[in-house]
Amino acid sequence: MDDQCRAAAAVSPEQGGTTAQELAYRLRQQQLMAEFGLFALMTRDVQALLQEATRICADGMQAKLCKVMQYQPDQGDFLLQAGVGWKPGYVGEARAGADLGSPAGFAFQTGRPVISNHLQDETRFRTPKILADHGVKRAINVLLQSGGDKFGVLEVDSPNEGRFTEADLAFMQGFANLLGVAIERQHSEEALRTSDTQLRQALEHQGVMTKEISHRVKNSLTIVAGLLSMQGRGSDNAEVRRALEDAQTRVQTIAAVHDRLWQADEVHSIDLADFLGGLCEQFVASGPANAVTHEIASVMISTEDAVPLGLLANELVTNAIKYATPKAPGDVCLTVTSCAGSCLRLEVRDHGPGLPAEFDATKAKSLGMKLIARLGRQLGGKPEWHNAEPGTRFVLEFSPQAAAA
Amino acid sequence: MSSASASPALAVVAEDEVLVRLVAADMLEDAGFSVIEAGDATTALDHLTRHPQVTLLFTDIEMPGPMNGIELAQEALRRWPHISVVVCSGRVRPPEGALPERAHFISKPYSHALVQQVLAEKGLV
Repeated sequence: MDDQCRAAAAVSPEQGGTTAQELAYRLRQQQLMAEFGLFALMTRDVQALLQEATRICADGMQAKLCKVMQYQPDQGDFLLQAGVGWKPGYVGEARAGADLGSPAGFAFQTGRPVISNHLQDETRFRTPKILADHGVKRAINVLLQSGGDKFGVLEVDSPNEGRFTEADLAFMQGFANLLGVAIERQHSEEALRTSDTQLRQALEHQGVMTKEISHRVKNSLTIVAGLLSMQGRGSDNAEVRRALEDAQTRVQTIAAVHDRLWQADEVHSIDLADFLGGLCEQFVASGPANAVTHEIASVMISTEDAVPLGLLANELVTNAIKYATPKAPGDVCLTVTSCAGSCLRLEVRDHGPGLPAEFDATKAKSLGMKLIARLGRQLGGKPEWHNAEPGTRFVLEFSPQAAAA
Repeated sequence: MSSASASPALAVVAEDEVLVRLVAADMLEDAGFSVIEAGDATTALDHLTRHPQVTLLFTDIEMPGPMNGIELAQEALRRWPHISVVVCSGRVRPPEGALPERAHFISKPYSHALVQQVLAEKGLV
């Protein structure tokens, strides 16, 4: 069948082919369309796509010459982008006008396919130089569109006598449509890849900016703390000094949260052991060495919990240092342990005088005690005070919020 | 030391951020020093040259200009080996061996108490 088809395919009906020959000719064109469709599905390279298209199209039309003229918007003309049968130096280099005076230009501008079976006698068009250089006598071309944009023109040319017909046009048009869809798909995929890259870059940038903000917030809070400290030192009034010192350590505690945030890879959660441990080191400086010890579970907590937890620890430890006057190592001890059901247990224990006889946490007036009660509740637990004999033990069990992923 | 001596000990503070420099200077003054301020390493070296009796250099690491705090510390200890040096930074932790042994590193934010402790350890207060 194949040999007969090939022999039959060389003869188009207008040239005296039989019905059988025409059928074979058309069947071959269908087969080539299918093959090209498959190729187009697998190829990512637009140039390769165009080149293969011209090869197969020429084959289907039983012609020597086929080309894709791609429109160049900057210069307003065509470039011979891909093709078969052309002399060296033409594919990728030769240019032609895209005006209405050439067959390709006409097809491009009007969108209407063009058949010219006798270029020499043409009154509608001139014979473009590329065609003249190859002795082309007849041409058939169709508009090539992708995604509603005009891409260029697909053209088959022949130096031989003969006639291109309407049926040929159907093949060419079908081919151009297929090619157009394939080109559009490549462009969509490229656009998708670009926007994906841009999205990833934007997210990264956002992460960097968030860290930068945390760093600046930390810096600003540190300056505020410094100014409060200066103000305290500048006052002769002991109560004023104490009040400003308390204010300063609270501000520094919040600064410490931000200090962890900008350094970590995470922007929404921090390591509890690092964070509270770091805070404790700062408390240590204001008392005898090693008097305050700590043992903290290494878990990640959300920023929402870190601030109240840090402030709470600050209140409890500074209280203990003030009232229990620690001297020996471990006299004041802060521990955080995991307990059943993903909850945490915070304990601060000292070896001081213990709770006063009529101690009632709910009736306490000082800001420190109010903060402790409030912060404990904010964390979702019930603060408890016990006599540790000797000393005092504060306990809070709470369920931390799920640390953001 | 400060109350006993006739004139207070001299310290140079090198820090480019104005408010941070102010707070640091105040802290050192509270500890008994008379403080000369510098906004960058070059100016700090200038002060040290003109006042060789300075006993403490307190410097940030990141500052504008050709020299950073670490290089300043190295240069200061080279030329005035008797000086005490405290280097601090909020962003950078100097790598092992970058700082001369005699320089002490403090991480920002630092509390007044911590600075006092470091100065006490160095026998300056």
